Amino acid sequence: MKLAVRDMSCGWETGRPVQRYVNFTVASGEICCVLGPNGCGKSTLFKTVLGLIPRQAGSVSFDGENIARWSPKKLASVMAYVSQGHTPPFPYKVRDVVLLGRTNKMGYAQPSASDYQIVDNALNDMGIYDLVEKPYTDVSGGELQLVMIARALAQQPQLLVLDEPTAALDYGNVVRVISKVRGLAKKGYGVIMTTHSPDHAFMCNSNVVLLQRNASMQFGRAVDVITERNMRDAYGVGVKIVEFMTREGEIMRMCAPVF
Amino acid sequence: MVSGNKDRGYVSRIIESARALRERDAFEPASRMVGDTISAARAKAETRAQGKDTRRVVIAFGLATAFIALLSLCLPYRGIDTMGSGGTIYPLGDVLDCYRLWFDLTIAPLFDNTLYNLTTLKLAQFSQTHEGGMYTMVTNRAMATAIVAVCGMMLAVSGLLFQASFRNPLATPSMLGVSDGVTLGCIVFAWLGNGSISEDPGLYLLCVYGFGAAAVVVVLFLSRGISGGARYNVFDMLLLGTVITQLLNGVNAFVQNFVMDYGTWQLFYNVQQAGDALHDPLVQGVVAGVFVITVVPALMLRFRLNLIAFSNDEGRMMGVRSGLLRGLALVLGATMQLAAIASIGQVAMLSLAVPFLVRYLMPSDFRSQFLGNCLIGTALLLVCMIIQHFALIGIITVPVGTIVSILIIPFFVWVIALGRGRWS
Repeated sequence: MKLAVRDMSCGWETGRPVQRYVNFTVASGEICCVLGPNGCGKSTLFKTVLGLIPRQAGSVSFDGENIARWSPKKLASVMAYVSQGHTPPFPYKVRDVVLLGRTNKMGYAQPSASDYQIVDNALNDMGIYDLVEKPYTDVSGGELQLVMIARALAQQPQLLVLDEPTAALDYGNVVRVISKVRGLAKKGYGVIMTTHSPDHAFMCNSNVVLLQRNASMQFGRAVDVITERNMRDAYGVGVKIVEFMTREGEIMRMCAPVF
Repeated sequence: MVSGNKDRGYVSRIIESARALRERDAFEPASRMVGDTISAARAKAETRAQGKDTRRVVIAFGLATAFIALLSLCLPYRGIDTMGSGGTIYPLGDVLDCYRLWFDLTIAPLFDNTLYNLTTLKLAQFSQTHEGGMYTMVTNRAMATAIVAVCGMMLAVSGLLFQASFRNPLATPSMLGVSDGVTLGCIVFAWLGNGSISEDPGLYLLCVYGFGAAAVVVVLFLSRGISGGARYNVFDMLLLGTVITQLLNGVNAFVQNFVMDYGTWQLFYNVQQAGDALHDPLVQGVVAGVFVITVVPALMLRFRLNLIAFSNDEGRMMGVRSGLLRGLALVLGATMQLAAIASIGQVAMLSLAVPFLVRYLMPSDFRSQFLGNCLIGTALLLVCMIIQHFALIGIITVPVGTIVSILIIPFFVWVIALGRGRWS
């Protein structure tokens, strides 16, 4: 699987793109973090890639095929989207919410035993099977995010598109969600996610798309794109990239603010 | 020396701690596995228990609905023309005799042509042993019960569809002007018609369906216009619905109070209560047709309709054009309520209260909600019709809508109190 975005311009108003000439790729087993300051167009970029708002220029291809004219059904068979800040409309049970991910595969039929099995597997993969009967209005923010990712997994996609999956989560939940995202990439899913923290890109050892308001985007490995200079240019604050060695001998990097 | 011993003790304690840590690390995956298995088993047990609870609720309401329907079948019809003579209940045995006779006269001959010849004989035998006119009354009652059951179901499901579409437990099709459109249709019929629905059922249907549907179309058309013509905006639709409803309400009140004479107003009052609509074959046929073209699709789509409560983007990324699905749900809901009100009068309160009640009693999944609304909507409306059968103020029949409101309010308050905190 390979998603390729080529020379794409995106924005809500025709002729006034918030981002121009966006280029990046995501392949199976890869994580791509989209970074950038508030209002630079991260969510707009996602919605454009997914065809939720019209593209102003460029192309998006999946395994070499242009997805511009794909039906929602075809798109949903290869990509699953977890939106930012999902608001539960009614107190559905966790299993019922995740089961909705199967809608695309079921057509107009009712869910079968195999659909329920796939849902249970997705919940197990996210480590939240014990919440299966709980109303999803009663779970914590971190658990809710995992429920949404489980729903995306139940779609059996090849690519997961996560819009700020760690927004408004406490530190523990952030680490849990990032850990699950790493696990999904190891299982072969391609993952593209937006985040406000450059550390998440380091944690995932991912590729990075760095968007800026008045400069061209950058794409590359996290270690190459997340530099002190780029962070200052993008966010307007000074940071220090610190390196340390984990118990397993792996080199980790973090951004520390400079006051 | 002492210091050396102390050092040795310190080192050995560190080694012991390290060993303990290593052992704990070695056992941790196993203990975590056991913990996971226990929590998974507990979750499965909870799933089974809750599944059984839902099944028990469904069985209880199914039995209650069947009992209420049976009770309704045992009541003779008391229409406008026989006002004041109601309040009796035929013995169950006699009612069953009627249905046996109905089967012999209607169904059995389909399989054996020779039985046609026995029709007159059987009717004559029946009239010798039973009260005069009882057969006609009971069979009419059966049809009325079926229509009321269908209307209860449609009213409840229409409320469910609107509440899910607007993600709001207070939404009903009345918000798009259906009820007030029907009232305007009744006013027009009272002027143009021959006095009662049974005299001119075609015109009655044309007026109520026409004005009810027109109100919805105007709201949808205008809301699309002010939303820029690209997509329907839920808030625009609700605001315009409120404005159009208020406008129609004002027009209806003005016409009733300042334009109509007393005679026309009396006709209008009877028509608005749907008068003898329930027993008119044309009205019955139309409501049965509407039931088939609205409730059956909702039944077929009951899993997919869960998506109307989620955003368009979420639905689209799950492979469904949920905007279209929501539009279909609104059209189905409005049509259901229109048909129900045209057949049994103004009982729109049922569309608000039943989905609210069911949401408290059953899981939020649309499949469970659909089933619960069908059962409870049917049961509640049948109960109200039975109560109406006995509720006379002088010779005036209490409108079924009033009975629904009075009966529902205590339940509604109770459910709100119990369900507080389930949504915000």
